[in-house]
Amino acid sequence: MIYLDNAATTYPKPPQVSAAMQQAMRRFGANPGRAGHNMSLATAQEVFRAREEAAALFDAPGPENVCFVMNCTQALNMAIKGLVKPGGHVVTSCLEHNAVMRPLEALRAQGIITYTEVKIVPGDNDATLDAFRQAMKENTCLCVCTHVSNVWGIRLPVERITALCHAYNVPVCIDCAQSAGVLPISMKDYNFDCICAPGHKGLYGPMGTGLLIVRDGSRINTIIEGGTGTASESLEQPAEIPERFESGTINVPGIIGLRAGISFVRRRTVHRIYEHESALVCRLYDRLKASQKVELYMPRPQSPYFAPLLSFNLPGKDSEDVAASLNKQGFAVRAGLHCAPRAHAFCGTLEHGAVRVCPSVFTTSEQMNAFAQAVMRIAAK
Amino acid sequence: MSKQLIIVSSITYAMKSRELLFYYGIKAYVERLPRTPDMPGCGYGVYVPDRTDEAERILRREGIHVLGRRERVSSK
Repeated sequence: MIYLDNAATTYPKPPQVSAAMQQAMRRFGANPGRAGHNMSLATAQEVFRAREEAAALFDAPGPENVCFVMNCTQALNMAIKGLVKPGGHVVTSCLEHNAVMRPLEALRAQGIITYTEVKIVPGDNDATLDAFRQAMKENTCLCVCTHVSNVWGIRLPVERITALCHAYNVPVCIDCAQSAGVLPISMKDYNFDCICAPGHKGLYGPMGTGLLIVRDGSRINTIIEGGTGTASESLEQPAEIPERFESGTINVPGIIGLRAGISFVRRRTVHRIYEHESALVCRLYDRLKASQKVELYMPRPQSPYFAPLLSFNLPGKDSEDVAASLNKQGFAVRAGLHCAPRAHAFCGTLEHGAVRVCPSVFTTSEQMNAFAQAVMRIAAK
Repeated sequence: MSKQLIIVSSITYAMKSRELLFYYGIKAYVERLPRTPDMPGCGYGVYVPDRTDEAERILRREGIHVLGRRERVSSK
């Protein structure tokens, strides 16, 4: 099988990730931050090293700014529900995943907030920024937006959006589900208030891991409270991060595996990973475009306006049927709506969805060539 | 010497404190706090056998929330 569904989760993982997890199960089996015995402290030490690794990748102020959660969706829920104010207004983009839209819609349905979806202009960041500016209201209390569309690969100018929002004293939460490990992200340089990222995609960690990186945790209300191993005599949730957002026992084997994944990314460097994947996707785009048999919805997915993923359709064929045909030929891709109906509505693909292709650091040009040939075979039928 | 255990708010800050102090050439060890009437709940600190006052100043300067100092009950 040639796996090109890396936007859903990367596969395979680097061997050091599974090795680290096996070692975690053998050597670091105690609950970190709960006791004073040697194995508990050793386990806590490993978790702290994972925080350091993540803080270095995202250029966070310190390891304490890194909170481990289950996945990017959980991180987004914690950030969104922790930052909104009753009667407040939220600005978001028209390309959001349901991990953003469903929490916003639930808050709107409860009468807690209103929100505005900003129309993005691919390839024109000035126009996109202007649209964000026009969406701001007096009661805007949060801007939450994706860094990269999980369907179209469109890269939003989140650095400029953050500067704009901060001029209005509005905190910004960035959904880095598709950009973490592929694009450079600096919390210190751009003052993002919250960075939400999955551990199992571009960071090559295991599923069930995610990151909520916060600049100032005391501004964010909690949606989950419980035991943290600190100040147990108090019934109040601790104010200090990361424990404030890590109630309950954390996923130690997953976090140790995630550390190995992030370490892999840092050694490889985000820049080289991006260059590799972008070259693969651009070549595929060129081949599909030249065939004139494939419906492509975006310009050539190159820097600085796109991240390396591509969605397409074959005219007259349903995206799910195309993905099933590709599966029969040994290619793993994802069709349908990709949990992002708003992004599909943006390009008019809400009814039929699209076929999404996303390489990883392990994908080769031979595999992409074989994939292009398979698409051509299906298109010719 | 007395009160060589510097109390911080969590295991994360205890580990960060230890890293910071090592950077300044001060040996420090993460320890769980013994229960006392004034601090009955769970907590962590760093045991700094030497230069404890200097260590506390460094931690405060680096933005670590130091909750206090305490006598260490058992020796390492």
